[in-house]
Amino acid sequence: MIYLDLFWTFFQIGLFTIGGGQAMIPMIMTNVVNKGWMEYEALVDFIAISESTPGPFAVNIATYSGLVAAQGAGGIGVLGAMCSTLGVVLPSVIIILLIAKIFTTFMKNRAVKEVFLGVGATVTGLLASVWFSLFLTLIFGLSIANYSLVGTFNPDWISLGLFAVVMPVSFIKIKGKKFPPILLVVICALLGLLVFGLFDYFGVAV
Amino acid sequence: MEKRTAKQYFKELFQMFLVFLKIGFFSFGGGYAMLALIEGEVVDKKHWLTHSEMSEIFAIAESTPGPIAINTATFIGAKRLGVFGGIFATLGVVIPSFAIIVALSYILELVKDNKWVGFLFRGIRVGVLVLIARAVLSFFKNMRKTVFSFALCAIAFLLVFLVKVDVIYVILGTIVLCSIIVAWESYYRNHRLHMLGTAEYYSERLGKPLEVDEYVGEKSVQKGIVKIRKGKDAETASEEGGV
Repeated sequence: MIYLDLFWTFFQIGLFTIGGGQAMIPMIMTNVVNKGWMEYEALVDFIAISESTPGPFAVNIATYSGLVAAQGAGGIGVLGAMCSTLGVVLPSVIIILLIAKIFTTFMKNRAVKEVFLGVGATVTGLLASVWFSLFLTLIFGLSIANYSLVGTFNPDWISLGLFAVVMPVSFIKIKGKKFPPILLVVICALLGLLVFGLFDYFGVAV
Repeated sequence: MEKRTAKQYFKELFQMFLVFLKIGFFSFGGGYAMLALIEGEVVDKKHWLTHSEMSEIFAIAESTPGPIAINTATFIGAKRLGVFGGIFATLGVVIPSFAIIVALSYILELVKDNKWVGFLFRGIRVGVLVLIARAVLSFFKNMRKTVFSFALCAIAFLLVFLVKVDVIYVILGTIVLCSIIVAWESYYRNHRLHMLGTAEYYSERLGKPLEVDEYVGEKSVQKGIVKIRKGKDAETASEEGGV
């Protein structure tokens, strides 16, 4: 049953996310795409939307995945969204309520800190893998399967150019704070509209 | 928790819900951006918590599983008003996201085949590449720079990128591995100290008496640093006769 499956999948995702919403991206990528709930590219688009709508990233992406998955399975979208959102939130709520009630000292435990530092290192590797896969797919149309590259090599030079321009810009600090993600997404959207639109206008296939 | 009458309790519960509803509506840019907003509302305006309590909560929220914003909301609610406080604060922070995303998904469905929307999203995908690259960098910056961490990072990368192992197993594996190492380390540390020798042995080697309760590791002695393990360890060690 899709609703139960959504709930359970996002419950696991919520439980194993240590270090904030972005640590969740690798797990969402594999689960949502492998289960056929959403296409890879639709999910990538939605990551940007999640970063630029208010509210926690994790909740945004869980809600949308649940909605699309339930609709795709012929169910009620909103109900699916509720199941996945509840799933992603519930582990946090349970754990924090326990910590607040019982183990306030739990987090100061050296062993717990050590384990979480280890998980932090693993998540770095996982995110790097997500990024690299995404880069191969979006820019070169390639992916990895059975230990080798598959797909036709079809480089998207325009996107690569945009990336080369935007990446350095994203390091600019505004009032001592990180370049806001929403501004980044808006800039990229406008640049995409402008550049791809121009190429299209002059009859270059994009 | 302070003592309140039932009426006060429900009033504050409702206020808690409203405050987090507001936070959920106006926080763009994920958990960290939300923290400033939460601090402003909860500490400066409502005086529900002090600044130092707040920073402790943030630290815990960051290092427990789950989205940081949810963890923070639940914790603040629970600290002020118990279990229901936690639940209502979380509901408050989740509902705006939920509603906005559901509405947005219908709009997306309408416009997705438009050529210009397509161009827009091709630009946005580049934005996602940049955002994830930044996330990788910030995780890398917070990573402890030890050989072990680099190994974990590299193995995780290869397992997921090439072997296509399910991410949950990689994280579970890390938790198990690290737990074993931590347990082994603390076992090893306790027992090695017993094996190194007694306090008397060291005071002979050093040519000066040690404090009765002090107990010293061999390397520490060589470096002239007296690192202390107090009390029982030293006693048991001398009973066992040391090295």
